[in-house]
Amino acid sequence: MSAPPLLETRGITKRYGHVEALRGADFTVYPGEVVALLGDNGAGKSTLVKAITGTIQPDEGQILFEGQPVQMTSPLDARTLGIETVFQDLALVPDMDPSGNLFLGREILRPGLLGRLGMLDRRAMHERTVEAFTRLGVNIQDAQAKVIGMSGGQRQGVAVARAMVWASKMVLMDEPTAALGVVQSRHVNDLILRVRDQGVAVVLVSHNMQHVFEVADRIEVLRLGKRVAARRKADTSIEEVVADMTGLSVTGAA
Amino acid sequence: MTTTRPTPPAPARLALRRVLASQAMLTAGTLLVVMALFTALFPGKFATLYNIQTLMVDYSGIVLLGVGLTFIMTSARFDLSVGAVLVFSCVLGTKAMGALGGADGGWGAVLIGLAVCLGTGLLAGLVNGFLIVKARVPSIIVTLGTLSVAQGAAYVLTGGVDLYAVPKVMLDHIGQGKVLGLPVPIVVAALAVAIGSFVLSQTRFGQYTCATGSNAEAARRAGINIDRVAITLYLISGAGAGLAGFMSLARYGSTTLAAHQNDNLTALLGVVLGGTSLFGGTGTVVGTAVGVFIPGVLSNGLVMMQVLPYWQYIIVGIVLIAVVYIDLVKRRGRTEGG
Repeated sequence: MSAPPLLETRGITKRYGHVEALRGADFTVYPGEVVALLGDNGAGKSTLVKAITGTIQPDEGQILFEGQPVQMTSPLDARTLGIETVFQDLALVPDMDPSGNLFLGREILRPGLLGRLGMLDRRAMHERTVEAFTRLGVNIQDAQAKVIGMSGGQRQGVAVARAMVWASKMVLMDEPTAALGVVQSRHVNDLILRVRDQGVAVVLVSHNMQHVFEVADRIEVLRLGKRVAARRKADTSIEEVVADMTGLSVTGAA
Repeated sequence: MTTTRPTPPAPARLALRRVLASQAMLTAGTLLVVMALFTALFPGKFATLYNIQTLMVDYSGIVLLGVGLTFIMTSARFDLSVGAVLVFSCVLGTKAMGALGGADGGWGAVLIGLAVCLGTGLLAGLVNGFLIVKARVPSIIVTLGTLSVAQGAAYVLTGGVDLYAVPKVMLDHIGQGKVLGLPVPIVVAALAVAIGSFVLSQTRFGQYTCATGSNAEAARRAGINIDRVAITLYLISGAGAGLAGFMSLARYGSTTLAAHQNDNLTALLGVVLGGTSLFGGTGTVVGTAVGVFIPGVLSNGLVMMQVLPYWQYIIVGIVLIAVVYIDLVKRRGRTEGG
């Protein structure tokens, strides 16, 4: 990749008491690519994700966004830069409909006096939600039904659509298929590719090797809090990546 | 409401169906059935303008408590203190108005009394909210504590003897007054319901209230200051209690130390009957306003049937548990079906 990176972390260190979750972790995301962040349990994936989304502050190291050093002090900072996150638990409000969730914290208000009183423009939010679902191919029959009554796949669709609608540069997905069946996982793959095709980079944190090899352009591997490999999918194999993750030789990894 | 944009027919019809199937409609239906029953049982006695109006005035204070409680319970918390805060605000309000001329006090004294009652309620709300948010003590314990403190303080300040220093103008023009032919307490309660309903169902703050009750972590990650929302909610609930205290003074001309012990429970039952989930996330103020009248109509009818009115407390308690049980079963069904 010759384009300058969209996001780069350099030497991120994070300690929790005596435990070093990250020991100088590097990570690179190029514009408009799907990059998988892989690692065994405890490799530091979720800590790195939290640092990138501003949920935690690293003890050492630097985060560069479009070449500029940035401070991520809260999830709002990440959002301001055009980074959205699909959390593993989806972070949806079950008692609200999809448009309430899509616009949570960023509601559209009525114009004029009513808006100044805080009145919501539900119709505008609903229309934009339906439009986003259509564009992303998220299949939800009743866009005014509460999320609580929806299937796992539909909820995933709502959460991904929310990230998509607001992300201008990058979407981070933490284990997006962990709770899904085969068909639904394939649908998430389609969504990821559609997101990338709109020029938004996707960071995919996953355990699911099959899934990663289906959609990722590149793969970066963390082990014991450090990046141990950065490979292009075309030039590698599942065996090689598993070896990176475990630190064992190719023949030893099964 | 007129809009220039056409309404897509399908969602509108779905929304209508949803309204018709809602708990609030069920409650309204129940209320109508009970009222029809009493009308048939006591022709010319129950369904009279005088009886219904008296009933509504009697329960207008509970409606004020219920509006605040609807917000609190939609955010998946409790407020057990509103009944005691009501009485405490009565005491402070009467003390203030007593110092400003008592029964002979003018509108100035009344306004000060209103300010003191509301201020007392807001202060209680601030204490509740602050302790719940910052000290992270569960709301049921915090408000149980402030209930006891407010009740104790009311008795300490009065020595357990009711005060009566309420200006006559307040009794005549607010407690017994009418606006457009309607008793002022009913108008005040109706305004509170209208404003509360607008805020909870149509505004961003209402959206945040539901979100914190449904999934607080999701709300926080969406950038909502959930602590500030919680404190504001307790301020609303406290203000409702303070206003109810002022209206109680206007109606009875007394601090009514012992008269509001069941108000909190009755308001809570009204909220739950009105379709607000005890587990947070959904609530309607209009539903509460309807729900509050079910125990009201019941006790009114029981009196007419010459049954001891104390039976209403037994009925209220049983109905409360039954309604919450049904809500629980419905919730379980929905999440497991997903």
